[in-house]
Amino acid sequence: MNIVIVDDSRLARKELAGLLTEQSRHEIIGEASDVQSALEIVNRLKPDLLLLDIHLPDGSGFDILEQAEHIPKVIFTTAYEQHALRAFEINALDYLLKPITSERLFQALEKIDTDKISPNTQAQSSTNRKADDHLFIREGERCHFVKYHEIRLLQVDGNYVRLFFRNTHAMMPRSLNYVEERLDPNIFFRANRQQIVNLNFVGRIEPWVGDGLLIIMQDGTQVEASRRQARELKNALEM
Amino acid sequence: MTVTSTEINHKKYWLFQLAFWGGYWFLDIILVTALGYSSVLINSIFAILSLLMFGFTHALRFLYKRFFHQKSLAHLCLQLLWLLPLASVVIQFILFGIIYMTLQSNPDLGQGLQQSSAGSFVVYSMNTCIMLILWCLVYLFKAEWAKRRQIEKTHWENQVKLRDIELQFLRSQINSHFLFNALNNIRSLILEDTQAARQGLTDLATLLRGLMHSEAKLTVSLRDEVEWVKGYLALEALQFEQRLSYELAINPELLDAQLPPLLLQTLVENAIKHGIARRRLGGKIRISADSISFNRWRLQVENPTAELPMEHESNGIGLKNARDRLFAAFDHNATLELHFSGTVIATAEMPS
Repeated sequence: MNIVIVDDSRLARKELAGLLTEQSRHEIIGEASDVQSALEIVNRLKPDLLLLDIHLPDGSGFDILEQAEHIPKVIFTTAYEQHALRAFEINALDYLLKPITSERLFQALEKIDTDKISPNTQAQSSTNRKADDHLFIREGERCHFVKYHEIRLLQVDGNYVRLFFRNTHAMMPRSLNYVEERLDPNIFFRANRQQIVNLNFVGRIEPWVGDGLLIIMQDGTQVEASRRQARELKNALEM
Repeated sequence: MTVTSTEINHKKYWLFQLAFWGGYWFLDIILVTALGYSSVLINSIFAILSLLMFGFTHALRFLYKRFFHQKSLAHLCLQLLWLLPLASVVIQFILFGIIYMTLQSNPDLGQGLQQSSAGSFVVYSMNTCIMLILWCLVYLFKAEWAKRRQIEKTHWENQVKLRDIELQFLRSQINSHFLFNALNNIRSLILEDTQAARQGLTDLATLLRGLMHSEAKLTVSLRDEVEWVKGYLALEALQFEQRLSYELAINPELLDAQLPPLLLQTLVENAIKHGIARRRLGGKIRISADSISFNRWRLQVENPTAELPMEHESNGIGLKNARDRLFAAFDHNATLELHFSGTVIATAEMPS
């Protein structure tokens, strides 16, 4: 795995790098000590994994996840069980407490490795590999890692986008168009200017006024597709 | 056996009942004696009336405790509007009944007694009602006052408990974060520079000893405090390296001056947490101690401001804690202020 270490303490980075040399299949491709340089490195090098400290001089580890174009897998490293980490749903992420033992580190790395090469992911072609990628969303005190294929519905909410996933929803400070570019067009369908639906979560489709279609999601949510979009939906479904 | 406040209240209540209705009986006897009506029968009637009132008001208290204790005063008054007249009529009815039965069995006693009528029944009932109202006023005033005091007391007790827990929690949180970072850095340093790692452990031991001793003391000498802070800064330097530099300007005459334990440490910790740690290039912390008059001195810690405005991470607990400790040591004789002007300067002034 290609790893980037983000920590403002040089000694802490060195400690982690030292531990990682024990296994040759991991390579440290970059190090950063603050949010700005971390963002630059992550976007440029697109690592598989970030070892990420939470407190950074110009922000927090969460800021990196929120702003990065490429969201790698993440293991948080922290000196103390932060209140911030409790904002996550259980098991949503891994974190290591400093001082980090090599045993715990490799356990965490292995977990990520097995997640990555699950048969489900391996079978997927490179074009829809995106489906297993994830988004990071922070809304108030709550943080979520959301896999793209878990999103049922995306909807414009003011200037932002509200995502519906699992049994919850959260707002992301991005435009719908920005998010749409990152979605797999084989799974996600732009029903109208306001909404994008995940076709895997569609319950049934009914004819609607003016040659449009009414998409009824499995949870009962109704989404209207305009005439033009309806034609595209028919094409997509026939394929 | 210990006497609880409830037991004291019970005793008070029975004394109050005895005094109130005993007094009522006594006044009645004085009144009828003055008017020349006094007789064994009349006095007995008033005794029975007083006893009835005693019993009924006790029942009212029971109702109050059982049903109205949690209700508003207005709601209670509304209920009293029908309860009190009813109670008065019932009391008078019982009294009239007793008198009637006594006279039936022993008509001789009736001499000198006025003929009763519907009119006198109403007047007596009103009289009783007024007494009941008086009783209620006194009782409720005392009960509500006690209730309010109890609520206030619990409120303050809870406040104090909550704050203690908060302080302890935050204190342990801050130290733990620092402590584990220090341990992690020393661990890394063992491979890089054994001598520096050994020094780091020594600093950590000094600091821990200081922390443990500080709990018990009200003040320590500036000399001791500076020693720990140097150890503390050395450990933080492992974390921040060239990002952290500091300057100590301590007037040597003040080394024996007293200050609350960990005061300087708290100020330096804040300076690092809110200043150095929040700047990519770090900065310099200036620590100074000077006399400001023949019996006062000043401790200052200056740090550069954070690069980005802080999120709701700080709530001034560290500073509040430091103020509390200053207050505990010097009463109102000491102050601690923060000044923001390009840099942040924390200034503590204390008697020397």
